[in-house]
Amino acid sequence: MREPLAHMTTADLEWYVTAGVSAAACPRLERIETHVAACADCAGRLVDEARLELTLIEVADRAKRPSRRVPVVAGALLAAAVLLLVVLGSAAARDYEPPAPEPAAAVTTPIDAGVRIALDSSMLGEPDDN
Amino acid sequence: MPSDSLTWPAPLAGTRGESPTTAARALQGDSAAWDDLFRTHNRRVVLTLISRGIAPDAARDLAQAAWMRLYEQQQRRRLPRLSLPGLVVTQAMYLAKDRARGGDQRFTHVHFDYDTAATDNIAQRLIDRNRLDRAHDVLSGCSDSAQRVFRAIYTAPGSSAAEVADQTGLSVQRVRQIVCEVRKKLRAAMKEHNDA
Repeated sequence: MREPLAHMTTADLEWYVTAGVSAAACPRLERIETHVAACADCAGRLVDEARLELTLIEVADRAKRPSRRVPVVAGALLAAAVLLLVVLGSAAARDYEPPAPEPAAAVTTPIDAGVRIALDSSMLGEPDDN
Repeated sequence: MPSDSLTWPAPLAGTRGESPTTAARALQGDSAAWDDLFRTHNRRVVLTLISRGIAPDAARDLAQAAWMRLYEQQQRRRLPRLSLPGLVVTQAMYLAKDRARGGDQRFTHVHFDYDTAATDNIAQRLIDRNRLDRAHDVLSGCSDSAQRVFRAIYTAPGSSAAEVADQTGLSVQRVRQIVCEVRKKLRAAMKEHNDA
């Protein structure tokens, strides 16, 4: 097949990947597609330009997406805090000496306006000795 | 003074700019929603196919056929979810593979060097992370006005140079010049990346 002489300009290829792909049929679109179908050099350049455009789209998408680093860091901090609490809690439980039981002292906890729940301390479990 | 990192305005809800309900409406058979999805994603689908070495006219035909196939699947209630544009790309690559097997010369040279069944996120997998990081670095090193231009272009793809000029307060001529210069830098960086 005879190769058309005039190669595509960079501007042609840029136009094709940024606008031509979605454009309605027009002479410029037809000229580029006809040439690229017959010219391996320009076909290769178009592939590169399409990859560049996809890269730019993806970079923009990545910039738009909320960073995942913050939740990961926050999650790690939370996990560390929970671990610390567990360790401290175990140590405190080991050192804990239960007080002498008091006779049915009522604890009143306000939940929201007008609602109160009475807890009876005798219902609370004894902490482990170890 | 160039910014350290690129920041884009908060995205519209949804993964690629469409409303989160658009895909849901499409899955319910709303043809207007399918039109919206096509307008939003088709350029990326075609570019992905071209980047795989498929000729532009064949890529556009293939993309069209892939959208139609997905729409038909939805009509038969065989489409449980829509992950776009990857699902259309995957469908298009299946069609290309089929056509290549059938001897269609437009697709016989295409490398189907991945398992199309393994992912519907091919569009993203085609661009390696290092390449993205390199492009990001180049853009981050550009002037603030260049970054504003690229933000304007890629936040609303399809914007004309005049619209971008209006948005950024630059002249149309300057916008075109910036786009040309930045793409040139990126092209060189990508070439370096490929050669490395």
